[in-house]
Amino acid sequence: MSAQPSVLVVEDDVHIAHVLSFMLERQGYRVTHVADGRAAVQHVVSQPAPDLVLLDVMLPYVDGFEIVGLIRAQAGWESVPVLMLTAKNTERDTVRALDAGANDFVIKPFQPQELLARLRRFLKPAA
Amino acid sequence: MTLSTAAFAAPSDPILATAYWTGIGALVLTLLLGLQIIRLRLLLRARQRRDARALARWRPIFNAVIVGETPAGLPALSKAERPHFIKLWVHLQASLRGDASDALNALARRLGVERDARTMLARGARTERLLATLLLGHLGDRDSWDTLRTLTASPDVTLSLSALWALVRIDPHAAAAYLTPLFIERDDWAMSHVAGILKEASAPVAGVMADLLPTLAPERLPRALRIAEALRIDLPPAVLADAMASSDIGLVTGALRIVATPAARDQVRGLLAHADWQVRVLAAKAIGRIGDPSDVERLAALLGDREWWVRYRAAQAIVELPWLGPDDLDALHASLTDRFAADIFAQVIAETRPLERVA
Repeated sequence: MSAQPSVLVVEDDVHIAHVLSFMLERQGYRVTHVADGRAAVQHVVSQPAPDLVLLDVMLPYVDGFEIVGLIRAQAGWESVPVLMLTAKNTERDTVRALDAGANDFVIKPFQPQELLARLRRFLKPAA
Repeated sequence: MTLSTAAFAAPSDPILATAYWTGIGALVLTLLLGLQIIRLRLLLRARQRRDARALARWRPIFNAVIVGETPAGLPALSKAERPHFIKLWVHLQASLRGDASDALNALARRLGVERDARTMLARGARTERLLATLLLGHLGDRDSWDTLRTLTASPDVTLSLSALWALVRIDPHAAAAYLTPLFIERDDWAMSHVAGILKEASAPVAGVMADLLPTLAPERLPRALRIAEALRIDLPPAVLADAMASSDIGLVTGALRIVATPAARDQVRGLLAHADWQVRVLAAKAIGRIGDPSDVERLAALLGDREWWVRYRAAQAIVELPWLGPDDLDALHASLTDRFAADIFAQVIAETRPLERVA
């Protein structure tokens, strides 16, 4: 494993993806971004597991619930921590995310510092 | 006349001449249309380049302030960049909260964007006014209150609803007093929009609603109850008791949707046998929320109701009761002698069990 923990960011909103990548890289994490559900599925089945997955629920083609199910079923990815980004006022989505195998969730609109704090629970500080 | 000039000369025959000039006209129009398409493509590309330049200039600054940095010096925000800046700013504000949202507000104020936005709000084109409304709402700009309030009467529904949203952001208490009667009156505004706008002022709206309900005309009460339901507002028990005792089905169902305290249990139980099936449906749902163990028998009786929806909601209410486990549900199912009751109960159990297994 590299000294820098790696984070896979699955987010279709290009502006939010930029913010997330900037925040995470500034904390010393190595970030890979994919912009839709289909690309995320392709990544999960063809690439080695990262140290954490930051996964939006609402994605084009394949939603976040399906992707977290795939992650839990994919050899090598089963125990990767998955942090899901769910929309405000959709408690049902939050329950579904946890039921599907997510380790934690952050509600959008989100506070960057809260997201980083939740992420740190699963990752060692970057070198 | 040479051969080549003869080929392009207009024919002398009137029919041929008409066809000739029609063809020439069509050719010219096609060329003009082609030129217009090229012009639009060039304009689009130029706009995309301007967008990209503005994003490249301002995105690092947005990112820095969002993570808590304060840039020492800021570049000047040119007039050409302003719409791109505001679009991105509004987009980020909609996705972030807390310190990051405050930092974006501070950035906008440092650049004096709120002054530009006030001008855009008063005199801009529609898109500019919409952007200005959103920006000033996020900034909580009290100086724009009167202009925004005027915009709420705009025939442009998007603009008026955006202005209403901005008023709630600027001063939830003052906005609740102004907007709650308006939203009850305007039943042409979709409930989803109303709830979306008022959700950030649900506490002040609850106060206004409690004062307003006793004075409302009966035909306005169902709409008011729907707003209370959408905002999850707890209304005074006496108001709900009066509504549930009404002969108006709309009022009874409106009250049943929001009743949430055991104090109303006896009155709701009485409605399980109401002649109107919609009342029975909502009474079953309400008992599912506020009932006690003695209500299992009452709900089980509704599993044999003549209306499918009553049977379905009663089954859902039983399955969601927290004190009944899978064995209790199976035992209840085995005890049902009515075929319709047993079928609907089996269906609802089947719908819920996969989730239990995952959990």
